[in-house]
Amino acid sequence: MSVENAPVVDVDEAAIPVEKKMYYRFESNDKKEFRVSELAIQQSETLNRLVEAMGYTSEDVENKPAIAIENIDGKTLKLVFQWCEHHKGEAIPVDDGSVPKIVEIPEFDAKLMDIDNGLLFKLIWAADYLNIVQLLNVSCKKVANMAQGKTPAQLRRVYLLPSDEEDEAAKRAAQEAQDPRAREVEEEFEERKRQGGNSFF
Amino acid sequence: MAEESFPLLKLPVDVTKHVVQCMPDIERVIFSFCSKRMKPMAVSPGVRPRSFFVTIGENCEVLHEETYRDVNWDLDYYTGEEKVRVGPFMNGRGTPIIWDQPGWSMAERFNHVCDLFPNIETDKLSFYSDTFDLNLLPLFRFSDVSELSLPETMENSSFNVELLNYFKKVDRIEICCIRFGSDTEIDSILTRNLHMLSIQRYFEINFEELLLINSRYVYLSNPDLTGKHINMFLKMWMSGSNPQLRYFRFFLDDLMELEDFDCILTGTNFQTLPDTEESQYVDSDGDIVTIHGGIRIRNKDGIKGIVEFKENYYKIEFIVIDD
Repeated sequence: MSVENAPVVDVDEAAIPVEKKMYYRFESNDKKEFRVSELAIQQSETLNRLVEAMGYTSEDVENKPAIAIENIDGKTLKLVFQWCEHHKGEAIPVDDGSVPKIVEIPEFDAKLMDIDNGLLFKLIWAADYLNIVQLLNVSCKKVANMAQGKTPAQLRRVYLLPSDEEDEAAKRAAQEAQDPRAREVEEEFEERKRQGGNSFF
Repeated sequence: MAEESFPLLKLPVDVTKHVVQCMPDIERVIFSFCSKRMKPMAVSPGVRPRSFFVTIGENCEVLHEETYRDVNWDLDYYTGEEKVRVGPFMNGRGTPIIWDQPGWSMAERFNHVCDLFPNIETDKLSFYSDTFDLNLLPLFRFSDVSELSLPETMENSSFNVELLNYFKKVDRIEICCIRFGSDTEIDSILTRNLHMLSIQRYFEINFEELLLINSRYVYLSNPDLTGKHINMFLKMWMSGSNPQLRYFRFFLDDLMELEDFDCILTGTNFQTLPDTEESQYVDSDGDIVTIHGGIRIRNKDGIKGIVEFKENYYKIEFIVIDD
């Protein structure tokens, strides 16, 4: 039917049912429960896919058990959902591959992440696991900011990075653990050297 | 108070890399020096505007400005032989960070920094000192060296000639140093098929040598050149010489007498263009430039050239225009 021929009908707007906001229930690995709006969930690609696949109705979300998130504790999940609720409806940024990544930390996020590094670590881990792109960006930026004004030695201390020597030692230890005979041969070689022998074979 | 630590490597590898990619260029370069394992995380693909410097030891400085990389060799950057210094270029934020990188040669440190920006295709090299051991050059992994600059402080002619001969593939040469002892070496530079050749006042060439120049864009400052020489040069271009030439800028002696200018176009068939007439050409950096008016001449093949006198006649530009 063409637009011109479509019937014109007067609509009583008050009669249109307002779509009810749906709140999903999630449970952390330490049994803390959270109610999160549908719009906030869209910030997490993982949770968004999960609830879409479940196809819950508003009755289901009330009557069925809370959706378990087994890898994340309540303290961390609280921060994650606070962030998602604050940023609900915002566009999810697309990574254009540029380096350095240009990330600004908004005031709300800065306050939210005013936490110890242990909890910040868990927050980043959760943002990655739940695929919350912008939360991952800002939390990674917070960690990146720790590098400002530091030398390589200071960075190794801040980020607990092994030096080349420590990496080499760890590699040797791993090789020896894999092949105990190699260690025996090396010890035998060292012993003969100590005894003044100049030929191993 | 002890500084709080963060177990960066306990994050998933992609996330660790994400953190490093959120660091500004300066911090990322410094991070790359933490260990061999960290270096690949700090690599920055693509060519993007940047603004920082890395000083390597006492003699080498790598400047990243916009999308270009300049490598300068100087006598002493006062950093210390085993040091690396990284800081903002010009008026950037913060102060430079300096540290010891013992056991790393200058070439190792230089190559390390270059590896972090793999898509920078060309380097511009400037030597301000002849203290550099040229035998070490093969150890440095330069990108294609497109431009070589020899400033006026470079007084060691054999060093300069050796450099020019080592970097045979450079496309742009800027010579401000004194003239080489050997005429043969001078001829070999002038006859190179370069994109750009800039010869400044201390490197004096005569008119016969001027005619040898085989570059597309030429910048020449030479007090010995007169209006008569330019007149002869233009006449030779009109008769078919220097077919490669796209642009020639002469800086003349500011004591040249005014009547000297009168002879620049003597005996040539020229036409003075009104200022309303626009002509366009592509400059040595590839940008399109529009000029107004000027004096038009043509060569034997009908190709148009425009002569412009600028800044009280002490600068003369000759531009070949593609119709």
